Amino acid sequence: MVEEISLRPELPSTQRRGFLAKLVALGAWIVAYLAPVGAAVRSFFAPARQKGQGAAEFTRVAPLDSLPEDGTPKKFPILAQRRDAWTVYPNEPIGQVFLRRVGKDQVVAFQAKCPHMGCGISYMEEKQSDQVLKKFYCPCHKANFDLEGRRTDAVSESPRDMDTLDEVKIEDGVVYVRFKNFRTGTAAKEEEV
Amino acid sequence: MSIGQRLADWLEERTGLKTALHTCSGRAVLGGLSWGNAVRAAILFGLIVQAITGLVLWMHYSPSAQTAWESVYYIQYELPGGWLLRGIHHYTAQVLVALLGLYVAGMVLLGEYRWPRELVFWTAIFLFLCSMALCLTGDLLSWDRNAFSATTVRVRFLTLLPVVGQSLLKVAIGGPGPDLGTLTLTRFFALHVGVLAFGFTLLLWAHLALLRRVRIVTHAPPLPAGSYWPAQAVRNAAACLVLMLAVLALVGREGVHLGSPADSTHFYDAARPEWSLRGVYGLSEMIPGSGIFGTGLSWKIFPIFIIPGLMVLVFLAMPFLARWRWGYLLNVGILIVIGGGLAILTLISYRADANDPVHQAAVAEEQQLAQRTVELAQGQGIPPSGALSLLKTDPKTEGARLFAQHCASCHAHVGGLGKEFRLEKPSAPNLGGFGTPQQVRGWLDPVRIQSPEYFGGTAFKNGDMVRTIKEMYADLDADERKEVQEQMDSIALMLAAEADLSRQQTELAQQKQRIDEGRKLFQQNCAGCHRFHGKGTQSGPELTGYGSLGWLVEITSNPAAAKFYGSRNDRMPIFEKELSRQQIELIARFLRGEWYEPQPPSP
Repeated sequence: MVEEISLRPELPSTQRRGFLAKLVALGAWIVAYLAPVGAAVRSFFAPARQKGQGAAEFTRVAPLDSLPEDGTPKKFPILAQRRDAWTVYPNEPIGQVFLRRVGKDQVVAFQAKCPHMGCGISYMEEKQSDQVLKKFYCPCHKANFDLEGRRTDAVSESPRDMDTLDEVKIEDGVVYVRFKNFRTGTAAKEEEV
Repeated sequence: MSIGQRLADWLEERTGLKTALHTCSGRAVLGGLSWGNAVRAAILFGLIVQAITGLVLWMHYSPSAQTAWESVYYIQYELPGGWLLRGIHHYTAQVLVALLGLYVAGMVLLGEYRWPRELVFWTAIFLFLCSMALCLTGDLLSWDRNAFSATTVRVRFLTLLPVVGQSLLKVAIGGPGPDLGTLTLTRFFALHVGVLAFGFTLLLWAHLALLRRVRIVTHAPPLPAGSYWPAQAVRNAAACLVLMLAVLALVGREGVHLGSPADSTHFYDAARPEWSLRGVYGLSEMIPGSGIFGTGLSWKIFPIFIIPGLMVLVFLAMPFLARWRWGYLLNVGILIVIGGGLAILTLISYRADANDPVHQAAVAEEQQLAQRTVELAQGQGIPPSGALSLLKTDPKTEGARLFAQHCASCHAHVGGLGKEFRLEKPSAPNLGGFGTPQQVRGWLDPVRIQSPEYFGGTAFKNGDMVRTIKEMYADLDADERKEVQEQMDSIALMLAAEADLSRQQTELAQQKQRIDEGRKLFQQNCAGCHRFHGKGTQSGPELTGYGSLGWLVEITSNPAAAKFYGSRNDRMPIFEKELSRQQIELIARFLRGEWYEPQPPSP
């Protein structure tokens, strides 16, 4: 140990000065690291600005006949082209919706994703003493919604009511929906892009 | 001089290794022999175990949406020793989290954060946090439904943060989302095996080096006198052995779970965080998700970010709090409140799930799916599109799911193979065991055909078919009745033969004579309404190939076609309008009970 230290004798302080040399050393280091660090940061944070599929065209969901007239909701996948990283799937579920008939030929559509944290909402029929309670339920954090999508818990896990998909049309007995994703966790309903 | 001696000398001359080892092992342990050192040795041992098992897992792992689950399946079920490798890696991680948590708690109780140990204490806290981060990133890599669903929720928590939330979510997902995908896997994988694994190693090195320096600075007395080799080494080795025995016991008792493959359209309803985060999950459950006084921010930001953040900060501040007169006691109090509080919340959360039938049902369903995927993968091999496509083309699973979704509100499925569906008031025939002689026979029985099992709930309850069958049985004495019954048996056998179910081929092959007789009887008695192999008139459904795959697909696709019920079709939807041909086939195969089943091992 002792020997090793004596191999590197302390130099007189005058020889350690050299402002320019320090500046050059630091500058050279910074310049040398600039490109690799810059490229790494650029790529790592690239997704932050990427836009999702967003509101595509109207998607065919289901024939009107397949929806019960008593207003019981049914869940349907939204089939469209899906892209994951570099792979494009021609016809895959990109999300799910609940369709519910109100009146003879009017349909309301809900995004099946929970506004809280994006879990999958289920439709449930709960047997109570003498009647059946129909409701939407998100099991991840136990949030209950009525058939209009309104929160029914005294203290709800969800920051807002279920998200309706407002652009629905019926053509030749077939229900079409313009599918959208919404931000999770926020009280305001905003489209996720 | 022996070769060994010469080699040792040769090395010694060039490296000084022997002297160094001798000095180290013989030197008194700074701060004295202690079990604290043994705990640190166990933590170091844990890291080495993770490096060894992790590297070999790495050699067999492939992070992409189509290969992640599949490669873990391969490790778990096909690679010799793979289950043990994955088991050790999984449980050592859990034990490390627990051990580091207890280690930090121990430092608080012993007041081992005071000058000049602040950095020693802080590095211990960061080691604990890093071990949790390693678990969180490692958890996703199996890409099963639980991992996918739980991680979806976890990364979505980022959206609780104002302004940057949405961008951070995308950075975490590795793409625009909204679902996790291949780039999430590659990102988490790199974080896990690269950034965090390296970070943990660096932190542990810093922790041990700082501790060593503290002992030099404080002139820690070497008491009780003892050298590293072998007095301390015995303690260290014992601690390492205990750790590994605990890990092996866990692997042996619990095994490591691999759920069914991730499926973005089939969210796992029972998704829960790992045990170490259950306390925070329990805390979060008590706080509403609504906005804070009309702002866009949710109250959830408190349990998810602010409260855990404050907990970490309070621990980091302990060295400073301790300067106050009652500081030590305050710190112990904080430890008890936080640790105890989280422990209680953890217990409450587990108990709530154990008593929640919805949760239990989701867990049971997932277990079945997981088991089925493994069966299919072992029996049929995994296609390039991944294991999920095995499940999605499996009549037993996907057929049953489609049946539940599209058929089970009218039709029961009882008495067949596969999943049962019961109905209190069926409005259509029970489809269980479709195409078997027993099932066909019911159509030809005056009582059964009118029961809810057949036409009881339909518009045909008092229709031509029911009337015809009743007439055939009317005013018969016992002998005649027996004869009619036997003739009906023959017709049933003949129609069952049309279904061509593989499981009854051998049985029906022995009944050739009765089947021929049945065909003759059919032509005489039934062909007036049912077309059959090009003969007869069409008013009831065509029965050529009754119950066969083609017939089932056709009638499900369009029951209102002229060859089936035509305009008299009773409420059954025309499914070709809402389902694909492949989906209808899956339902038909489900009804026929045709799917892969593993052969029981031959004795």
